[in-house]
Amino acid sequence: MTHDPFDPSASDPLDQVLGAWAATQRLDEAESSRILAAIVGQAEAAAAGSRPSVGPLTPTGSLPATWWSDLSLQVASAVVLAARRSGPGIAITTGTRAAA
Amino acid sequence: MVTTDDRATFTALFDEHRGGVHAFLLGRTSDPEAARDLLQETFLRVWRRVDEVAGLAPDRQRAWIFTVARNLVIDRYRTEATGRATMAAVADQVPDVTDDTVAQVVARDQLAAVRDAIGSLPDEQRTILTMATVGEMTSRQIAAALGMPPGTVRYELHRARRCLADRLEVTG
Repeated sequence: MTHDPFDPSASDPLDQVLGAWAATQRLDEAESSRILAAIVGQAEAAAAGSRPSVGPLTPTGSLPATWWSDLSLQVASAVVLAARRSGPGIAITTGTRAAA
Repeated sequence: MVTTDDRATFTALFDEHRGGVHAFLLGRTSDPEAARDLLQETFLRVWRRVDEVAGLAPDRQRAWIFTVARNLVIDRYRTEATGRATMAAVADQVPDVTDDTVAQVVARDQLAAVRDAIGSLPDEQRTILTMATVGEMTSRQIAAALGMPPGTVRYELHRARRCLADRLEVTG
């Protein structure tokens, strides 16, 4: 085929009716764009779903960047509070106990 | 991992072949909705192998994509066991005549006649004709897509057109 046989301006009546029919059957740009977006979205969702998770996750899906320092601070605070409440009898001392 | 290059390559393949693949699927199924679903499924598979497909020569790319599309059609009908859909589905796309002008009614009737005539063609002729008209593909492109000699495509297209001209009582 060396020319577009279904040009609406074609003189051949068969080409004209086929051209009119074909125009009602083609995908329009909006439908093509919708299909393209659906494919890309579907593929990217599948790729994201296959990624392994690393470590404990927060409900938002990621570990806070300060999780280690936060934990260390909480542990240190708990130790200090426990030492204050326990009184001198069990206080941990170094060096002075032997001298007493 | 999806890269920007992958997406650009895929979009180029989609733009290049969507019309032809859609026309092929429409010709094979005679069902616009099924053709759209299968088009999406075909290109989803292209996406998954985009690096491989992009490395092929143009005719091999076309053949690869159409082989996927053809296999999906076969799978669909094997699964559904419904056989070939009828061209009646196409009628859903024709607007309601309630408020149509006389000219619109005449045009609608003509389109229905064309649709029925195309629906009566043998599968292969209908597919080739649809690829040539709706897909605006050349005989060489159709031949590469279907894996047949260009001369056979031209011959089948000629037979399809002659059959339609007789049925529609127009010259072709």
